[in-house]
Amino acid sequence: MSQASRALKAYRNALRATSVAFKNDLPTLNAARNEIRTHMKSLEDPKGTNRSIDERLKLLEEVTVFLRRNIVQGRKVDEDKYRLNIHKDTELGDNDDIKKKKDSPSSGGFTGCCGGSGAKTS
Amino acid sequence: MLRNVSRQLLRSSKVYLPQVAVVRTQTPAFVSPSIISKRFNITQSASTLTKEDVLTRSVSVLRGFEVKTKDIDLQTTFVQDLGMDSLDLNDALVALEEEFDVVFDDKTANEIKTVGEVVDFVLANYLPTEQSINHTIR
Repeated sequence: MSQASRALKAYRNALRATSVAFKNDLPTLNAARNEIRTHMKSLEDPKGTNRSIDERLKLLEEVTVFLRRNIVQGRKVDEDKYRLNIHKDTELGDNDDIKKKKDSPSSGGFTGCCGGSGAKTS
Repeated sequence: MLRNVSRQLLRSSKVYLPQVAVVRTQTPAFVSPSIISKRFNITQSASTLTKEDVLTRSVSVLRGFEVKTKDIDLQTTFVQDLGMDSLDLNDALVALEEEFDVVFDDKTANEIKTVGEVVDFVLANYLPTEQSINHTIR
């Protein structure tokens, strides 16, 4: 796939993702699309970080995934309650992630504590 | 005596046979679909698109963009006639996807040149809407 084809494909997917993320929210939808368009039209990296075109396209692809999977709209239905628009693309975690123990220095292995020599701990 | 009594009883007795009611069931008559739809308030939304419908709606969508000409037909090209660049063209394609609930695949999106090609794609890929029933009646 040529770089131009990849760029146009990424642009199309980004626009589609904004439709999903900002459904029925015209001001935010238009603002998001304008931002994406500005970045696409700019030859130079607008953020001034001198990223290559491939890096900028990779960022756009990641933003597209983020828009689809990690943004959820909410509407206030009560004083302290919101109804969330969770859709089929929304990323949902599973309970196993919570059950996993965090790695700690004393959880086994050959690392010593407090900068020790690396003796095995039980 | 008993025999006489019994004979008299037999002569005077009447035999009552149980009345058997014969109910003749009506054979179901053929009910035409129009009667069913009127009686049960079934509404059928438009399920087919014509080429003219697609063109009219596509023109309406495209006129919402900053284009060089408002005269748009099947032969109109996006780049030469409407003055769109590649990003504008993709803006228009996504707007048309939302209008007709279709998705242009990458190959088609990269090769589309005219409004007529969009119309042909929509007609080939458009899914008709389902029939709706008034649930309050049911």
